[in-house]
Parts: sequence; C-alpha cells; structure tokens
Amino acid sequence: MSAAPHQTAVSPRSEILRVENLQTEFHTSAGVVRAVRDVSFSVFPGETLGIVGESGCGKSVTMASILRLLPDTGRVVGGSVFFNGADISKYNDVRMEAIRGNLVGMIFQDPMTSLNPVYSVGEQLIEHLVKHKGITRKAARVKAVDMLAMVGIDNPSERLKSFPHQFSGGMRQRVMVAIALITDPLLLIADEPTTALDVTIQAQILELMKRLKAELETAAILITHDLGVVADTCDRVLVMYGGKIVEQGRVGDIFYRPQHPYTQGLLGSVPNPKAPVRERLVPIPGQPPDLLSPPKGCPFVPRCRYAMAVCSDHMPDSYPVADGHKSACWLQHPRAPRADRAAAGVTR
Amino acid sequence: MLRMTIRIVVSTVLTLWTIATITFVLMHSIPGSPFTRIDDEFGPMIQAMMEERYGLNDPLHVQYGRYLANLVRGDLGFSLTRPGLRANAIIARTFPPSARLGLMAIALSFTTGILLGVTAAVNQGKMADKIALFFATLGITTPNFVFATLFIYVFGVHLRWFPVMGIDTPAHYVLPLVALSIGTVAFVSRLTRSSVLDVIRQDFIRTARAKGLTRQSVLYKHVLRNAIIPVITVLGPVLATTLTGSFVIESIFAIPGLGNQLVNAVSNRDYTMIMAMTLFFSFILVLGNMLVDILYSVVDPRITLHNTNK
Amino acid sequence: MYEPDSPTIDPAAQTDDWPLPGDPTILFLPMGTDVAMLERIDRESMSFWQDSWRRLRKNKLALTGGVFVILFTLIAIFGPMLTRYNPNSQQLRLTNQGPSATHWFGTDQFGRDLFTRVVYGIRISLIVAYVSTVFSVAIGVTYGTVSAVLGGQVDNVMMRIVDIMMGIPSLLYLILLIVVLGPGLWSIIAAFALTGWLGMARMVRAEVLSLKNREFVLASRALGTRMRTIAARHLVPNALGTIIVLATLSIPGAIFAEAFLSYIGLGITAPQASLGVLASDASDTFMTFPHQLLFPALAISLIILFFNFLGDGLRDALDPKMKK
Repeated sequence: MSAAPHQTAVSPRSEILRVENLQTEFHTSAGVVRAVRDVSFSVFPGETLGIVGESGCGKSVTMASILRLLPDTGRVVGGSVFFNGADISKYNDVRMEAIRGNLVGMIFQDPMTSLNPVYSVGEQLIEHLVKHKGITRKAARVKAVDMLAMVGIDNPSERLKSFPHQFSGGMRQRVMVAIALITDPLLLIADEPTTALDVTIQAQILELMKRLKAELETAAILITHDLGVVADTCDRVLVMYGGKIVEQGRVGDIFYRPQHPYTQGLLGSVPNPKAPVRERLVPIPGQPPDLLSPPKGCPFVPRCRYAMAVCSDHMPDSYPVADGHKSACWLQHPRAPRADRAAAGVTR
Repeated sequence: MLRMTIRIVVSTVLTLWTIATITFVLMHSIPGSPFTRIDDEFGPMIQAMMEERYGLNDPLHVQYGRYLANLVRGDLGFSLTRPGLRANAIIARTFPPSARLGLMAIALSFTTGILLGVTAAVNQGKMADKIALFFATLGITTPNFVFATLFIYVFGVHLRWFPVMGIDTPAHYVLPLVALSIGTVAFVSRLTRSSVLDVIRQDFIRTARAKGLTRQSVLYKHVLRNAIIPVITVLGPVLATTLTGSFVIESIFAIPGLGNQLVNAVSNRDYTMIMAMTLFFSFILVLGNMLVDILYSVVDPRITLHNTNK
Repeated sequence: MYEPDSPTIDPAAQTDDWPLPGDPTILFLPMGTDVAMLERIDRESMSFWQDSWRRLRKNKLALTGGVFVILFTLIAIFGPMLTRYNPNSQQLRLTNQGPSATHWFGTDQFGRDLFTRVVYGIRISLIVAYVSTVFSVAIGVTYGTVSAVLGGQVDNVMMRIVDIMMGIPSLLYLILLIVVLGPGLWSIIAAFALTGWLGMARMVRAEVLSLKNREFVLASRALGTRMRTIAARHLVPNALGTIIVLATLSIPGAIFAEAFLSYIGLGITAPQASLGVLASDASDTFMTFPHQLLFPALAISLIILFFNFLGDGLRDALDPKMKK
C-alpha cells in the first residue's frame, strides 16, 4: 500500500500526526487505571518531538494508543488521531496494519528482547517490507542488505543470516532501527531507544538515528526520561505528568524558560556539567499520582512547592507562554502570584 | 553441530551402561537364584542344572562381563517361566503392536494437545478456555485405568460403538488410543497454553505487531514458533508416560503388546523377562530422549550455535 | 533555585471573569507542602514469608487446595474415628451392596464397608506420598547442597551422575526395585524415595549456587563462619521456598505412581489397601458395580487436584521470579 490515505482535515502547516483529546484506560483487577487523560499534540514534517516524564506518566501508553498496540487490558476510550490527514482512530485492524511498520516505524527500549530469537535478522527485516510494499523476497533482501549497511553493520549480506543472539545489544538496536526505517516511514516512534544501552553505545545509536532521520526526511517522536537525550536530539518537547501534558514548547523554551513547577523540578534534578559553580541536585519529593483514582485537579499538587488552593480541585488549562510554548499550570493564570514568571528565567 | 552430536551420543552410551549395570546389580541382589521360585516345579536337580547352564555359578564379574557382551550383541537373555523362549523373540513379536499404539498416542497427544492449548490461550478467560481447563484437569487428575474402564463400559459395552478386546481392526485402536493419550493431551495442552501466554507477553511480539503483520501472521509465525520450544522438551517425558501407560492400557484391552507382556512377567515373577524388558524399554526411552535433544537444537537456533561456539 | 516572593496580585487581573466556583482571592493563596508526608512509605515492610502468605491468600484456587489438603490429611490421621467398621471385617451376607445409610459408599465383594476402606486407603496413600517425599527431599537437599557448596570438579561429577540417572526412566526402575524388594508399604516408599530425589537435588543445587554468591553469604564467610554452618543457617533456609514447592508438587506424582503400581500388581499388599489398590480391584468388577470404582477413583482425583492447586499456588507465591 502506498503512502496516501485520503486527505481530510489538513491543517495549514500539514501535520504528519495530530492527536486530539486522547484518553486511554487500563482495566486491572484493582480497578480502572486512567493512564492517558486528554492528551493533544501534533507532529510536523521533519521535526523530532521529545516526550519526557517519569516512568508511569503515560508517555509510552500514548504512543501505543496512537498505533493501537495496547495490551488486552488497555483501551482507547476517547479522542481522535489524525495521521497524514486521515482520522485513523476509527480504522479497523486491517487498515491499522497497513500503517504500522509501513508509514510508522517503531523502536523499543530493550534490544535484547525486542527481536524474535528464532528467526534470522534478515527474515525480520524483510517480512513486513514484503507485506507492505508488495515486492519479491529477493528484492527485499537487496534492500535489507543496503539498510544493514546504512545502520553501520559490517558485512551485511553475511549478517543477514545471523540470529539475534549473535549480535551485541548495540548491534541489535541498530537492527531495530533498520527494521523501523526499511519501509521509508513518514514517522518514526522511538520508545526509550537508548535506556537499556551502555552510555557509549547510547551516543552511537542517537547519532545514527539523527543521521538516518535527516537522510530519510522522517519525522520522529522520541520518548525518554533522559533530558540529555532530549536536549541533544529534539526540536520540540512535551512534558507529561500523571497522564497529562503539563508543558510543551521548543527545546530552548523548556530548558531555559521552564514554566511548570514539574518541568523546573525535572531540570533541577539533572546534573549540569556546564554550571559555573557546583550546584546541588534537587530531587522532586514524593511519588507520582496513583492513576487508579486520578486527582481532580492538577496531578502535581501534592509534590508542588507552589501549590495553591485552586490547584487541588481544578485542572488548569494549558496557558500560552510564548509562541508554541504552553504550560498547564494555575501559576500562568493572571490572578496567580507573579513570582514564578519572574523567577523562571533564572532557574537555568 | 558435530561436537554437539558427539556429546549427546557419549552421554547416551553412558546412560545405557548405567542402566545395564543398575539392572544387573538389582537382579543379582534378589535373595537366592532366579530359579528358587520355581524349584517346586523343577526340583533341586533341575534347578542346579539350569543354574549351571546359564552360568549362574560363575564369579559375579565373569557374569557381568558376559552380560554386557550379550547386551552389546543385542541378546537380552531368556524367559524364566518359558525357558525355551528367548527374550528377543518375545520382544520381536510383541513390539510392533505396542509401537504402533504408542506412536499414534504420541502423535495424538501433541496434535490435540497443542491445538487445545493454543485455542485456550487465544481465548484466555473465555468459555473455550474454561472448557479446555475442565477437561485438562480431568485428564491430569484421573489414573488412565479409570478412563479405560469407563470407556469400555460406556462406548464398548453400553453404546457398542467400538470393540474393546484386541487390535484386529482399526476400530479396535480407538478406545485404547484415547485412554492412553488423554492424560498427555491434558498435560501438553496446559503446557502449550501457558507457553503461548508467556510468549505473547514478550517484547518481540510487540515488535511484530508494530511491524504491521496480520494477527494470524503474528500468532502462527512469531508466537507459535517460540511457544513450541518448551513443548518439545516434554516429548521425552511424554514418551516415558505413554510407554508406562501402555502397560496398563494393553492389559486392560487385551492387546498382545510389549506392555501386556511386562505386566504378565511381573505377575509371574519372571525375573529374567522383567530384566530384559526393562532394558529394552530403557533403551527406547534413552534413544527417544537423544532424538528429542537433537530435535530441540534444530528448533531453537540459540542451542546449536551456542554449543558450537564453545 | 529561588524562593517565591510574597504574592503580589496583578491589579489588572482582578477584573477578568472567574468561571470556577470559589473566591479567586482565596483560591490563589499558596498551600505549602509537607515534605515529610510525601516521602512516607505507604506500605508497611513485609518479610519474605509474610509477603508470600499475602500472595497465597489472594489465590482462591490455592487456598481451596490448601484447605482440602489439610482436610484429607486429617481424614488420614483421624479417619478411623469416622467409621464404626473395620476395613477388613467381611460380612459375606452383605456383599456388593450399593450406597446406603448404613454403608455410605456401599460394600465390596467380601462385604467390607467401602467408606471405611476408602478412608483407610487415603491413609495408606498419603503415608506413601508423604513419607517418600520426606525421604526424597532429605536425600535431594543434602546432595544438592553438598554439590553446590563444594563446587568445582566435585560439583561437576556429582551433577553428571544426576544427569545420567535422570536419563533412566524412573517408573521402570520403580518396577524393578519393587520386584527386588518385594511389594509392600516400605519397599514402595523406599523405591519412591530412591527415584524421586534427582529433580530435587538439581533444583536445590541451582538455588544454593545462586545464593552462595549473594552478599549476606559473602559477609558471613568474611566473618570466618564455616561453610557447613553457612549452609545450614543461610543456604538451605533460603532455598526452602523452592523445596516446599517441589515437595508439594511431587505428592500427586507419588499417588499416581502408586495407583499405577497397584494396577500392575506391585502395589501395597493385603490386608492393607491404598486408594490405588481399591481402584484397580474395583475396575475388574466395574461392569456390574460401578460405584466400587467411583469412590476410590474420585478420592485419587481430588487429592491430586488439590495438591496441584496448592503446589501451583505456592509456586506463584514463593517464587520471587514470578513476583511483580
């Protein structure tokens, strides 16, 4: 199938992906976990969007919801997803399959377990290529050799016959990158692609992804909890907390002018090697909210040092701070104390 | 691959030798000579003659050496209660029906078991899963002679659907086959179910789904191929269970097979026959396990390559 | 980092609409946070056994299994008090009776009360299963621990021996052993113990080997404790979970094997009768008196079922690898 779903609802800047009011729930024995609560965002051609947050904040579930790769207990209960102009949230399984692995490539966290141990790397590289592009296995194999070479694997035509356990972790992640990009997708979703890797390998994989993304002109979503990775690779950032987007903006906005107390806290808990004096790392006290019974107001209230009476009962709107920079915090409200806005600039 | 095969063969030979030795020691630790039991029939004179003829008066190590030499030549000795008959002849006559029944039972166990297990797994928590669980529980907790007796009563005597004695026609095989495999079907289906559920949760299945493969392709190509590996490892134990199960089933359905012979030998205290048949059965099981080991390394690429890399 | 200045309200903002209920001047006052409360750990800490018990308690199937296992064990111990009949006294006028108020499960071909015989059968079968399991656990734990603690070449040789013996079909050697020892309660127990310890030895060795290099053992060794003491005080108690699970799951196997042996005529000898003997005797007369098979067979199935429930539950509760 080729990359041209019917064009509806095209926005002026023609996003690749637009998510509107996405809501996802998990039905567990303990009750309903509201993992994604009313999330909206867009991805534009060629850009890299970072999604950051602590584990359990809903960032991975958001991505799984978009492609409907949720486990059986999970269900998207609301919102729409426009991909390349078409509302794919109503697509059936067969139509979704034509998008997954074809127009959207995915890379996962743990390369040691993300490849099927009983099939050769070559088989895993070409099976979806053959399915989506309708080419012969022979042609697919030629393309697979090229792709392996592109991701930096030596002797690619031999390595095609190897099994995953014959590769190191870093090499396997390169293979995963090759699998995700072999179909020339419009969008690459990388879910913590470097978390499970050694630090030196992490840098290599990030470099590789950056280079290939530029060569193939693919848009990308990078999910991570590593702010260093975000600063290095992303154009824009969404900060998620408690199943909601609490702040979003360009990388510079988020790193130099963070508005939301949670974002400020995240940045405060990361060491900054460039700091002129040795600064103290400040952890954010407390635990993320229990999404079995999500708080009525702002999810960050119990841990927020600026919490106000209004915060615990009312979820704040997302207030524009600057062009493309928004923060979902009552401190942005005109009635709120002014302290934050004056102070935010000096945080970093 | 070669080193791996050599290792498997060496360990098989070692196991066979251990089995032969244990059998020898056990049979010679029976108080008195094997002929003591039947001295009433033959009298002390004949007993002495028999002992002389079979070399039972020689020193133990001589007997042991001769015994091993005979085994290597494939000579399993003689029957005590039927002194004219060689054990080899009895086995040659009774092995074919047993082998037929046993192989069919194993084939049935694995095909039905895997089918039921996969069905239960993909319908986890639904009606099909619960029905499969009920029958599996029944199969696992009930001794096979109870099933056999029940089947004869219901399908043989009451409904008259199937014949119940002997193995003259294909219809004769139905009841013994089902009675013999019902326990292993249950076992294999539970194992398959948990194995499939385990594989479905793996990261690489999420990868396969993220690649846009169809539901069928994910299940049959990616899940099943991995889920089958632990199921193959129980081929050895299932072979053993089927074999010992056949003792009971063959004697209930009056099948002129090897298992029936063993039960007869036990009730007649025909020590030499028991010994010969134990050795023969062990030999089959050990060879079966060897084949399973080799098959296992074919199915799971990690095994072979891991070992050749060493 | 910075401290918030004292709240200064923007006078221009006072004029906007306030859509939410409540007085906006109060709503925007800081609440302050209680850091000590945030770092509070909500769950109390639990020992391994408390934690396992909590998980076992939540597993209904395992709990049912446990209750019935205890019930069957109580029947085995106190069963004779439940009946006024002697399991072996024959009433030849009352042979092959169906179930009735006087004979709950009916009588057998010699007029013996079937309920009484089943109760005694449970007793014999459970004695065989429990005692042989205790012996095979003792042998297996000792062998496995010694092998793991000594390590090196000794461990290698000891485990090769186990490997080879694992290759020997145990049920066949059970037959051979019982033929040699002569049928009877103790030879069956001995035969089960001699064939049942292998799996236990292998599992215990693996468990002890992984424990051997853990910090608390290394600490103990650094303090100069002898390895034998360490094994008794640290290694075996920590492998107890695995041992309990294996022991529980080996009981159904013993009961099944005993029933099999009974059927081929190598079971418990008269006057004692196990469930296996009762069931195999009754299968001869099943066509005319099906109830004689029903009750002992049901007892066998239920005992195996409940031990499996309990064993599976214990495995889920005690195996840290399954822990979420």
